[in-house]
Amino acid sequence: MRLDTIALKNLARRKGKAALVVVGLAVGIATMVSIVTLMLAFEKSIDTQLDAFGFNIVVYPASTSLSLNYGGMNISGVDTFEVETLTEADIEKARRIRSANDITAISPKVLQAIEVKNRKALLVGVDFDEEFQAKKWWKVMGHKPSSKDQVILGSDAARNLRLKAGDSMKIGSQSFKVAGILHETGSQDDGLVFSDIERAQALFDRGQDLSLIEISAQRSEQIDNVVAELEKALPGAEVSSIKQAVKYREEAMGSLARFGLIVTAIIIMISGFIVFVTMTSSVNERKQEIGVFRAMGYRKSSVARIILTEALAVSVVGGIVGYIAGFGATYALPQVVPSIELPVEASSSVFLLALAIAVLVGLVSSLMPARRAANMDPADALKSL
Amino acid sequence: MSLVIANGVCKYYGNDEKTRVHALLRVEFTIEPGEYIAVMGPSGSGKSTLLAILGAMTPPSEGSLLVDGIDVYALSQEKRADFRREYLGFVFQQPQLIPYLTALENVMLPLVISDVKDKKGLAAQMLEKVGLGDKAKRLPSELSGGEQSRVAIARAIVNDPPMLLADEPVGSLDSKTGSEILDLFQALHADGQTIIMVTHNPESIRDTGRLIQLKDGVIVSDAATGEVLPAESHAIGNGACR
Repeated sequence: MRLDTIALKNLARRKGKAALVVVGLAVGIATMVSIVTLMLAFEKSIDTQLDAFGFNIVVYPASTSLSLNYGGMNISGVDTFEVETLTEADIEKARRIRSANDITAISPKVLQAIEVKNRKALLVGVDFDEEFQAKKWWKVMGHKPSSKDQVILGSDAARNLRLKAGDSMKIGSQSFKVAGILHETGSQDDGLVFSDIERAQALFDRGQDLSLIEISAQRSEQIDNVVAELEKALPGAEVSSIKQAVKYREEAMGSLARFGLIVTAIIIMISGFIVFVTMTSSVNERKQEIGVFRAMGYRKSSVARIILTEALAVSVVGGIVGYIAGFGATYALPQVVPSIELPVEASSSVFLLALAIAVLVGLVSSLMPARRAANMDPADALKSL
Repeated sequence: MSLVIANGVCKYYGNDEKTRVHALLRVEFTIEPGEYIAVMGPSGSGKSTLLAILGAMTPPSEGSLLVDGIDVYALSQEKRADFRREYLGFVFQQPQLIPYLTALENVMLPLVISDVKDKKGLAAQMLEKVGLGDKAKRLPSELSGGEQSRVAIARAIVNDPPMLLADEPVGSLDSKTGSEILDLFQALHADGQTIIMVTHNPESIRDTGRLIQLKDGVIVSDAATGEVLPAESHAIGNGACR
């Protein structure tokens, strides 16, 4: 038998009080786990949505001679007067940055204003494989281009140019076939004409030059790092991230985190108070028992250890119960309320955090009762015998 | 060498000399190893205070207590706890067994904080000694009052303390069971155990070799049990504290 045995056997006897502490802690921990799990799910959901925007970094030539708006950004390099140019060699440089593993797609583009049937449009020369890889939401009426003389049109561009899938169109001296029309995306893609990049470079005599390179970082939080490394690798280029998206994510998560922190702190404090009151009452009820221990020669530290071992045991159980309850409630939420679509996932980090906080709250709240027990004068305690 | 030397022990409550309440007035005595002593006196005579002082739990206001040459109240509180573990065994009026531990575990309690290796074996041996070897796994609630007292005695002697302090050990028992417990004390004494028993029950002192009588905080008699002291021997010590 050890001191721990005494503590655990006492808990087994006082099941009601132990249950009260477990429930008190579990409620706090469950709330924390729910909020943290929801935050993680929400963060993941936002990330997924942001990632679905496709490219989140744009590299374009540093010097500006003519600006053209593309995706809410002013893009230079669409005329022939720029001083700096981007070339296909820059793509290789981008692929060799340290955080290259965080990049899911690199899509070079050539932009050129064109006239088709006396109507103006913006043509984007792209690598169709990369483009379809990054923009998984693209749906094509017709089919994807199968040869270099095929183009696809954004829905607005098709309407503006009065073209449909299967039609032919002439750009400059060359004829192209419209392979398909994109379903409306709600983005700048709706107004664009997409052709093969090599064909566009040849058509406008651009050699290996590029107007811009769009890059997709795997996750939004990696964007800043990738941008910094690209700036180093490509000193002659401007590297810009879709800041609005990142800012939106940070603001949304910041507000949620603040709210979560406050609610969790309040409930954990209440839990701590419940533990404190219950442990204090337990110590008071065991005055005689503690007196007997002290009379037998138990040191203050031994008595405190018995009380704190009890607190530790109920805290661990409270943490586990709280985690299961909190995660269970959060996991059930999308099932109960189908309109809430959140990717709720179990996390070992959240579990360990829950356990650590439960133990911390349990032990801190029990420090004073343990100290009180340890400092009991054995003679006073024995007066009640 | 005496096991216990109580030197001018005073215990009073309150700092103001005029309103101070005295529990013990300059008590002095010695105890030799192996003595079986009864401390008697009416309520309020200072018996319990004396036991608490002998038990290293309540420091005297004045005077000193030497046990085995150790000035008990010169020790820090934690060292005094160690002293209690090493030198003392307590038997209370109520057995004060821990209700959620078995008889064997209750006897093991003093050993939990000691370096003894075979704690379980030693505790089982003590239970055998008090005649409860077959009830080791019973909870206190499953034992009779007499059996609980035996477990309490086994617990008090399991760490082989030089001094056993008993506070009205048969006070809550019927006369037959009480007599059995006194037999057990006598058996322990016969084995050389030093016992100091506080009681107000004249029957309890039957086997003791020495009787210390207290009245109003003063030892009025300290003699072999059964002896009558001459009147001038009363009020041992000078009976004055600061």
